[in-house]
Amino acid sequence: MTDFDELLPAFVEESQQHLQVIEPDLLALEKSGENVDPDTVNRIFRGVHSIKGASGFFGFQNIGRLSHVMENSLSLLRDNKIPLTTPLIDALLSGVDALKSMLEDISGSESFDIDSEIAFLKGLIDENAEAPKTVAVYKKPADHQTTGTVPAQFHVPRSEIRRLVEAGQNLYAVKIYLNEDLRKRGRTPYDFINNMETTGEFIDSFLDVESVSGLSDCLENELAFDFLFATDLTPGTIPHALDLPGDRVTVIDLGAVEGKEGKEGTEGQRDRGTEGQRDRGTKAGNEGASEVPGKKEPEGRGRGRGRGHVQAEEKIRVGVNFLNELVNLAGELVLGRNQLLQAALPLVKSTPGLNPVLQHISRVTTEMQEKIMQMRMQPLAIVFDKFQRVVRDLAKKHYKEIRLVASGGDVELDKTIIEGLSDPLTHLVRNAVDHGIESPGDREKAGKPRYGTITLKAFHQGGQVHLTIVDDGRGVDPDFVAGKAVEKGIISREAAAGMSAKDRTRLIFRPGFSTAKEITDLSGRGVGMDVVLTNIEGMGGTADLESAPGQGSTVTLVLPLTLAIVSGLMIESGGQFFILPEVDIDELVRVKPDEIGERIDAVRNAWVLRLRDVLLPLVDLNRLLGLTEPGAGTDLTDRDDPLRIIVVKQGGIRFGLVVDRIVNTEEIVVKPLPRYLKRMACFSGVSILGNGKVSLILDVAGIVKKTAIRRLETIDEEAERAGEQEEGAVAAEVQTLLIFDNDTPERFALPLELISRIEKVSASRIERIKDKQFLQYQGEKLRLVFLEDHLPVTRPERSPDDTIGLIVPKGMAHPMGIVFKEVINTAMAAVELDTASIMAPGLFGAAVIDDRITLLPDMYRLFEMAAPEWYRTEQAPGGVEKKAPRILLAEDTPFFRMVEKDYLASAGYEVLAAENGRQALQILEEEPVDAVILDIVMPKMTGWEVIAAIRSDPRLEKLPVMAVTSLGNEGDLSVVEKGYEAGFDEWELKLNKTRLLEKLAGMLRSAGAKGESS
Amino acid sequence: MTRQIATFHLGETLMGIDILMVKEINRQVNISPIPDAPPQLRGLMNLRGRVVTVIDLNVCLNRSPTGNIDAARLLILKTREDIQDFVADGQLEDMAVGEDIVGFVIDRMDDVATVEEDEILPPPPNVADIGEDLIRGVIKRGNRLIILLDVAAVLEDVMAAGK
Repeated sequence: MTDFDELLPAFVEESQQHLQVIEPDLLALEKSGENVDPDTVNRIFRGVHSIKGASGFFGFQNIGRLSHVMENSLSLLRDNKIPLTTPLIDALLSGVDALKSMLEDISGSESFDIDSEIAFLKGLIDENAEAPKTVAVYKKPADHQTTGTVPAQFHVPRSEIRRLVEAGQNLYAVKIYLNEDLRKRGRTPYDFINNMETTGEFIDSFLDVESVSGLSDCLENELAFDFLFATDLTPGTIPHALDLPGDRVTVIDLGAVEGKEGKEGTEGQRDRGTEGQRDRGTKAGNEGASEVPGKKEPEGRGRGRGRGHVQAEEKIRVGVNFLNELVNLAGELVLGRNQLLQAALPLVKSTPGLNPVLQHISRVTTEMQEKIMQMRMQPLAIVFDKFQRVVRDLAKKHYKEIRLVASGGDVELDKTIIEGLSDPLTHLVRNAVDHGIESPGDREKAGKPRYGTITLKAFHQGGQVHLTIVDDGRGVDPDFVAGKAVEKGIISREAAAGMSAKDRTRLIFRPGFSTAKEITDLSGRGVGMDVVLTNIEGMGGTADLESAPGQGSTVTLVLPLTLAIVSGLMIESGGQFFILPEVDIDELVRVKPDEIGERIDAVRNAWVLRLRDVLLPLVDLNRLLGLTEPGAGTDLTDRDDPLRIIVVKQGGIRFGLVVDRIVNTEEIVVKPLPRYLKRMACFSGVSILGNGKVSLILDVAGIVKKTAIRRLETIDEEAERAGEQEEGAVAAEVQTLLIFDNDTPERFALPLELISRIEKVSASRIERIKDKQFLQYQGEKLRLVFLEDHLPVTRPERSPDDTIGLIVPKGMAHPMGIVFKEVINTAMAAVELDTASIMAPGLFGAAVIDDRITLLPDMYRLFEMAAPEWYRTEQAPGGVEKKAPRILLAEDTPFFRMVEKDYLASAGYEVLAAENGRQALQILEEEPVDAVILDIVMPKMTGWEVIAAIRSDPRLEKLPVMAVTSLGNEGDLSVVEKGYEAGFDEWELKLNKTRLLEKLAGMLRSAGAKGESS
Repeated sequence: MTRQIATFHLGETLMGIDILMVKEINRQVNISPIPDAPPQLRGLMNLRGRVVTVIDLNVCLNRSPTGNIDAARLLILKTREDIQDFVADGQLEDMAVGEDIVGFVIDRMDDVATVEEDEILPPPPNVADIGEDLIRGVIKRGNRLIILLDVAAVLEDVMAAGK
């Protein structure tokens, strides 16, 4: 190992740290405009200066030359010799860039072409001011170890000398030897310079490179460096302050140097005493504090040096590898602790004193692990800071005016996450600049300030970090996005039409989507929002986009604080344990054997789960991982134990994972996948469980890929469409029907969305009370309704040994169930209801489904007939003398429209029917109505949009409006809540006649009361 | 230079690797199989908190998989980091063995053979059934032949498996 090898990394690292501070400072300077902040200029100056100085050590002439020119222009700026202009900032920034690239490839730095950067800066200096006159202050004596050295001189700008004299500084030439003074004592050049800067000001350094023929030569010889050092310390104290032998310091008579110029020499001398005194005062207590780059310190230019008054917290550098090892060990310790607790728990009672010890160890372990995890935490500012520059450059290039406001830079995240955030955030910020913010002209036309604002904000919430990227630009047009998505074949036109504006906006996250109309320099370089989403989800986070067209958009990222410890669900499949990260999990579904036929279906050879309104693709983990016995059936429906399904989501795709058993949740320490397993798509890492076994962590993204994402997507699309069709949103006439029989030739069908559950029970469990039949079910007495008792159908032979089926509908005040025999099928069909040929109370009518005549029972009417004591039909308020209340009914499914209209008419209402939201609004424009009943999911305009329009119209503000929908059933109160917030007066499920009429009447009464009192 | 070779039995063959490469010999305990993995990968094991990838050497050498894995031993290798000091001292050539701990499934250990560098002969064209590229050389010990395994090459093959 050579001297240079040891010192070089420190030089590069510290120089980079300086540059990290210089760049934002330059940008701040540009923003401040006319009012140049001298402190900022000084800080930049010092940073550049330090780089220049240290580069001298290593003989990096290019870095030295460039930083020298930058330093010169900064000193001119400081002295108000040149004005602060955009070209100057540009030139300095390009200098910073060049320094950065040279530092990245330090060994090749001499071959960099920095002429243009230097010329750029020089041009600006020469244009604005004369080149600073320098004066030779010190003849470098010949080196004592190398012979034949050409003596050299330090050249210092005259203004600098004058400044020093005015500040009452002494100037010294200091010589140090690389081996003797630095390396042997474990110091780096920066340490030395930093130390120097605590007591004075380092002016320049010099490495006599001409005396050595090359690097190899200088490695063997002792290298000497010469420094020029200004301080108010007296000559006698310098060796002590710099920790050097006394013969290394030569005093330079500043008066004499100044005198060479023949100006102000005596005046300078006279001031010296008092200034020096003052400086000594401010310096007290600061000796030895090392400079931390980036620490904001006030520095007055008159004082020559002004060290910060804050003592820097002591810090040491630790390698990341070392830290990672510590993190791993901490994880092990936690595991060991858990095992210990498990093993020791039975002994606690019989061993006095054991419990406190265990608890103590447990607590200390937890705390230690937390602290160790904290060591990996880094502030978001690391990522945020670079965006000032990115935004500035991009905005300039595109003639936009953009302000970037960042807050929450002090929020800390795990290093891995910080690193992983860089790319997605850059993309989002670039997107905001490129697509979000309009040109100044367009903005003014739109009545916005010329300046666009991009806000980056980070904050803690619920143990996670939220990060928002907000711009006040043109926003995202959901229709444009949807159009694009359809054009690119990402979704079908029908699916797009049925989506809410928000969901349409979110299509931007779909793979293969990019809104850039053409590939620009900024974004759309093949990485789209889908990559952003994948990256963020890969780190266990989520991404969402909200946008108000014309007003801007907000991207919200939610991220975990750390990656190393995650909460996971332990599952068993094929006799093995696996971990599924909890962030990937949406919900757990258990399908009982008798529901399997009902809820599990095959769509084009792929299994799907019917979950509420959508079909979810299913992945059988056993099959995916080859854990099934060869030859075992792949039919998921062919089983007699419940099916356990974990609904997971990844990159906008949701699917169900079929597993054998769900064990429990566990906090696990994630270890990287051994390199031999890197090819295995389904795993993302490994972990050691509490029982000491190694377990694999499932990678949901990998599973998506492995199971052929396209196919999943197509199913997803079909599922979406199916879901919408159930709601009747797209093809208004299509409904999903449950087809069943009653152990007789007749077939029956009920709309699936009205059904809450289907159960199979033994007929022997039926209990009779007089002429009523009940079944004890989940602690309730379920009243049974037999079709044959109320409808003109064949009576089946019933025996107590039978297994019967029960249909339990949604939204029942009293528990009731319809008895049937077998589920035949579910069918999506356009019901052409024939109400003429077979007509009976309790029957909507008949329809031909799957080539068979099928009866559609009127479920709620059946219940009324079976238990009239529970039902009382609320008649329309008003009487004979008053006109019947007029109701506007908006419902897109003809079947429901007909049935609901029938209910209303039978209760004495006058009904106006609309097929969609838009039509409903047209009717409202033209006709006075007393109340409105709205379906929520409708084409053209949804119920949400209609209610918004109604409530924003002063004439219709107080109109009673009721939602009648199949949304919001079974405890999903959030939708109902949302409904009330949106302005609905009532919320009711479809086809519940009694409740519909009750609520409608109540609504009209209270509206009437209000109307009379006001 | 004198080297010490740890020798072990794999089927009919006597094989060897430099003893500086050996971390420890272990009886296999609680291997978690890796579903859907290439046959070379027998599973994962917890070795005092570190994860060991258990590799079936028989499969790597183109033989049929080890049958009774419960009776087998595990030859646990050092990682590249572990051998760094030996490499620096010139006792061991640098090998791309990676930073993950691996364990080879073997039948049983034999002696440690002390050999001079020049006793290691280039592999003859067809040593038994083992591919030439997986062999560093052979050592003659009386009437026995020790086949010196090229560990890095074997591991390279394992990584490429299941493409």
